[in-house]
Amino acid sequence: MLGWAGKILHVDLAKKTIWTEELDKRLGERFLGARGINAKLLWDLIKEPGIDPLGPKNILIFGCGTLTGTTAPSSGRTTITCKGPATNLYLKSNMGGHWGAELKFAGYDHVVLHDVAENPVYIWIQDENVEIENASDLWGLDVRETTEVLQKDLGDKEIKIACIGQGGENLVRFAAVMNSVYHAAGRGGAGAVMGSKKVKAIAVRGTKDVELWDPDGFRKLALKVRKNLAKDSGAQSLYDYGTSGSLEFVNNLHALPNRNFKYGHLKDPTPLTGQNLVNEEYLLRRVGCFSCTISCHRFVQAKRGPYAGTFTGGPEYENFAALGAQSWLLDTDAIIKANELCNIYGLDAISTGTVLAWAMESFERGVLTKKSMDGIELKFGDADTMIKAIELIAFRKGKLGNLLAEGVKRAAEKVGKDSYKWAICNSKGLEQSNVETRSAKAYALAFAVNPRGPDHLHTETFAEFGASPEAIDLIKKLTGSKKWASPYFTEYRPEIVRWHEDCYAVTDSLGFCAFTSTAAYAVNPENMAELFHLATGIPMNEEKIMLAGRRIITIEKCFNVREGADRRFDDLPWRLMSEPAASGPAKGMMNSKKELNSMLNKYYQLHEWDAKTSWPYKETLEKLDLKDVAEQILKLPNKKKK
Amino acid sequence: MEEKRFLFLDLDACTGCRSCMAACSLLKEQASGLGKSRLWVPKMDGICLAVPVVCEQCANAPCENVCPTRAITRDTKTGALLVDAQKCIGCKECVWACPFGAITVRKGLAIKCDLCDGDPECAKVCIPKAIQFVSLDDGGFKKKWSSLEKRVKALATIVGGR
Repeated sequence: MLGWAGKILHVDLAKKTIWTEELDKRLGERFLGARGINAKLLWDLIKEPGIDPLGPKNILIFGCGTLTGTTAPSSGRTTITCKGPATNLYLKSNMGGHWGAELKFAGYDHVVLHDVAENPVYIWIQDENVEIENASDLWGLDVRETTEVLQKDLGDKEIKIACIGQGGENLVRFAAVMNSVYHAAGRGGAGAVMGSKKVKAIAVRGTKDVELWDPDGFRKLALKVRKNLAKDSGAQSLYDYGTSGSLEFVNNLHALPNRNFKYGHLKDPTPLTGQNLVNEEYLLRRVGCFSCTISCHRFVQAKRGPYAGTFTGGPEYENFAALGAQSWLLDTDAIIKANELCNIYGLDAISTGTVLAWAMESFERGVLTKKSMDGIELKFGDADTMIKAIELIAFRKGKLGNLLAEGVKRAAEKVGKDSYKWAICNSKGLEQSNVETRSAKAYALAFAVNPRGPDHLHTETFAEFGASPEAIDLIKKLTGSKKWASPYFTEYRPEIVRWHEDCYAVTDSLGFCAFTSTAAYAVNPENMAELFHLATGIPMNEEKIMLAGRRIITIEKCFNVREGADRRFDDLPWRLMSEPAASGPAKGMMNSKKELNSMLNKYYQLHEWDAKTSWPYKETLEKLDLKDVAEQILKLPNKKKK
Repeated sequence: MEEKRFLFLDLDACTGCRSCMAACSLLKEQASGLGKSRLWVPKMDGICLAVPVVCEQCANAPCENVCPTRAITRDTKTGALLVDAQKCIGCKECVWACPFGAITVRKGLAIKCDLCDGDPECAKVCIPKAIQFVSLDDGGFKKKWSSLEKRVKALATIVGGR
């Protein structure tokens, strides 16, 4: 097949059967690849609401992008999709690295895991040869060990390993799937789903090529787009200083959430910045995912104190914020250690940081006590106890480990005493990523409607900050005036979110990194449509590919509709909806219910969804060529006739 | 005489993205992949080490010297060592002789970097400038050899140990 590898690999873990399915070109045209096709497969394979995400009926799908494995810049990303254990709702989680490209070279676009294995296994994919292998010897190993042992035993360092650490084995609800040791599909607990299926790893070695419809045309356009992206100022800064290179800028806006979202500004954020990693020589290497022009990933080594010598991949902006700012741990070396533990145990650093900060505040308020938590007390800024607690979480050790491994929503429900008020998750139940949504209104809306929970990885509306000429141009295109390029407005946020939603879905589905198209704006939908066309031979333009994006967003929404999630789930953490920002230009701003509601009303209207339930009308689905989906949801509202 | 240029590979700048491999394959084989690339970038995941390796177009080239049919000759224009498909018998002598593993034999024909006739694709796609197409004046052989020494050591780390 052209563009796609053309095959979906199915593995039934209980029956120990393996089969392949030809990828239907029509499916590719409607849902593009990776995130899009994953979403459709999940919809089709989980036929009923209410299944246990950690039970045999959940399906775990890995998908690489339509353009993954090609020279399209920064197009090597992989999407993992399942019903999420943090939320009991739709989950897509995305990772960089080189695993996705290797899967494509082995001849598959998607891997679908059905049911659960009786004993620990790993899956070994070598082109057409696919085996389910015994993994009892691997069970209990961390991510680094698993990767090294498998590469050694299978005799090839080129084998790409996606695996879980102890976090996933012990069903921590925010366990990550890791690949190439340091690249995480972190959010939402896909690692726990993999653990529940008793799949320790998927090892891949592929020797094929990706065939393209117009190789020469593709090569030329990909090179042009690559050069454009290389010139982008955002991309350059990401190369120089990584994702945490922007941390000081965010802090200057008083938008760096810290001490469990109580404050937005640190007096001296230097230890948490990418500039510090470079200047103080923590940085050993800049690292790129497959075909990446940006190479924002870091490889660092701690230098001072008890954690000196620890080396790891990262820390990213989110890791510095979650494990540093939120816990008031302003110690680069300790954060590197905490980051390394998240990597090797396979834990999402965002959720890990959030549960720890919640626990610290709970101890401070006397809601958790040393006595009730096996003699452990977490305090803001206490590195050693925090690092110990990360281990307790990964192994679900003791009362504290077990409580926090459930994620902040369940932990607050268990502890009670109003602790939901400082639990930084929304009604869906996922911990919010480290964005100050009180002073970034499009982000606030995007976070509230994100089907997996409040974070920036379904829709990143970076343009609203107006931080680059490209961003300002886009805001002008979407709203009619560049004056709306400020995150403090609520006007036109629904329009801004709608464009970014579709663009992000296309980005993920083709395998592109968000830093190409919705955080930097160097790769636009027109480029993506043209590359898709040259790769697959299917005629495509900007309008059609953005419509495919909207179709993907809509089917993801439908998964949650089928689960019964309505408008009440589209909200933000209590603290952000009820307590104002503490300082800075946005002092006093909040994500109040009233403000959120006005944006939501417009957002649903733009989608042609019912404002009362937030559910799509039957007609909306039919218009998006989703009639088959509409037929399976019985209670869909009908559009009122005017 | 035309100015001679060579590929300068910088271990410290290489991010291991393998864009060069995919680009080489796409240009030379009309398909994007790793298996048919003229370059290779072996890696070690745990320490994020990646070593770009390609034909060094050696001055006293073992491949040229051992070739029983004299199929490998130097292009006077670019300085690249080229394989004559008519003369090559696919015996792999050059593969064994190359100290860098920069030649493969596929379908009975030796395949190696030909510097894209003086306009190498790999250098074009390498944004971090780990692969640069430079003239002898841009630092000269000294730079080339120090880079090579570093890369060979790094390669030994990957191939030799854990």
